[in-house]
Amino acid sequence: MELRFNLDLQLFASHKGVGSTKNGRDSAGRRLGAKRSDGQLCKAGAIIYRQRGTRIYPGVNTKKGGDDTIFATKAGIVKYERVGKNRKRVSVYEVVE
Amino acid sequence: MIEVNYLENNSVISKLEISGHANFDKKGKDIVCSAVSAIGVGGINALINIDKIEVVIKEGYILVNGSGLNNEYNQIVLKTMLTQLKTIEKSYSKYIKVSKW
Repeated sequence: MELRFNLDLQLFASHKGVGSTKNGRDSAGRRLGAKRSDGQLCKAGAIIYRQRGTRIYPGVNTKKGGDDTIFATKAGIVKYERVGKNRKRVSVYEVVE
Repeated sequence: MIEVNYLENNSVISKLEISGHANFDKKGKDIVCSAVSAIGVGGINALINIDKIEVVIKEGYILVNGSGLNNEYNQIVLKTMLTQLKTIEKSYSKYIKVSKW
C-alpha cells in the first residue's frame, strides 16, 4: 500500500505561545543598606550605609561618597538620628577614653 | 479547539472535515494535536479510490469529500477514524469536538 500523504504530528498545533519572550533578564542585587547598625563601634573610613540617592544623610564625623555611600571620618559609635519631619542622618561620635 | 464535522446519510459518510487548533500545549508538545493528526493523515492514507476523493491536508485543516468514499472499504476506514476521534473527545473534550452536520 502506497502511503501517499506524509504525517506532521503537529498539524493541528497552534502557533500561540511559541514565541520567545524578550524579558527574563535582571541584574544582580547591589546589597545596599546599612553596613553598621546603631550603637556599633566603627573605625575611621568604615562604610556605614550603602544607598542610591540620599535615603540617609551624612551627619557628624561622616561623609557621603560619590555613589552616595555614607562612611565614617572618625572612629567612634554609630548613631542614626532623625532630622526634621521625615529625614534621617547617621553620625559617628568619638568615644572619650 | 479542534472541530470534527462529518456528513452521514443512511449510515454512509460522504464528507469528513477536521479543522482548528487543539491548544492543549505549545507546538511540538501538543499531544492532542498529534493524536488527531495521526488519525487524520493515517486514515486518509488507508483510503482507496483516492483519485475520486477530494482530499485537502494543510496546517490546521483536513477534508475528505466525494463519491469515491462510497464503498464498503472506505466506509470502514472513515468510521474507524470517527470512532478514534470520538474516543479522544471522550477524554479531551476541552480540546476536540466531534459533531454531525
